[in-house]
Amino acid sequence: MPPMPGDVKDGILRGMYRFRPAANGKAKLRAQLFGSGAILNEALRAQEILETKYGVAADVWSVTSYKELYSDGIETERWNRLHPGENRACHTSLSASRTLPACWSPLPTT
Amino acid sequence: MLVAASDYLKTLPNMISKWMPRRLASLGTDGFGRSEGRASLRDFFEVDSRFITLATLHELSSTGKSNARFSIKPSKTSASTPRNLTRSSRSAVRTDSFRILSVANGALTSDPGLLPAWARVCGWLFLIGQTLFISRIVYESTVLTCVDGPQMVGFSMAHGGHSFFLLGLLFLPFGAFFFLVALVFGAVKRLRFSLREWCSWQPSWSVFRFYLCLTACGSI
Repeated sequence: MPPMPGDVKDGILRGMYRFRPAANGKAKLRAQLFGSGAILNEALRAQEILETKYGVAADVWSVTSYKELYSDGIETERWNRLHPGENRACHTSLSASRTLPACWSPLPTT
Repeated sequence: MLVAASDYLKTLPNMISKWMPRRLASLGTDGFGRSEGRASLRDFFEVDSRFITLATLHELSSTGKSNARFSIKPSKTSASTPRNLTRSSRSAVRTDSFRILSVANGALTSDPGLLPAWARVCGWLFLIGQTLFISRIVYESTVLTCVDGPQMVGFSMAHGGHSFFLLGLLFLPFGAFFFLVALVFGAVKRLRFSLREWCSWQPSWSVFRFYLCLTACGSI
């Protein structure tokens, strides 16, 4: 197992964290790879292939628990239902927010 | 582009796909229980690094962002086919199921490549030899002959350059070989161009290349 970086403890406990960001963050072609457990090594290998051969900058995320992410999503959905007008982001979208648009966008108020 | 690889069922990453901002391509080991080495199993269930790469490039190309060329074995048996339970399934576990040739940014086309590399080399060698041969003949018949007298040009054009014929012969085997291979591959692959591609005023590079091959064949 690799040593744990300092700032990912929360991510590990909540279900996912960015394990290795793409080396070239400015590349045109972007991708996010999720791996969990032993297959994370395959994702890292794919990241290398994509970067060196195809110019695709891929971030590799380690998913520690799909079940936690699922529960978090369900809980957040429920919380948002019980708090109309307010919107909380689930961990899945929070962790992705740096590279991807958030999925819990506020409802249109027309 | 989001690609999730799992050693468990595809449904596991799919569980959270509804909270993803984009479509999530999910790779997993759906199918029948098998006992094998990790590498072969990941090849069989199509979850290893090559398949993650393929899935990513495919997702990118489906949005028109990337144009990848693959050498895939489309007949690779799906892991969830009952046929795999039979003895012949061993041959389905292979590590050369597909190879990714190259990728370029641009319009989305599928260019499988008409001929293998060695046949293309033969074709190009032949083309180079032919070009040298023809240009030398033209040079001899015009510029060189003009020195003797302009009235000889017509005479010489009618007879050609016999001495340089040997050079043409040297490259002829490549051409003959290429011609045969092109015929066989054309028949086997049935020229995977659509009718629209053939009739287009702006034929794709592959069609143009095929015309080039035809010209090369015709010049024999």
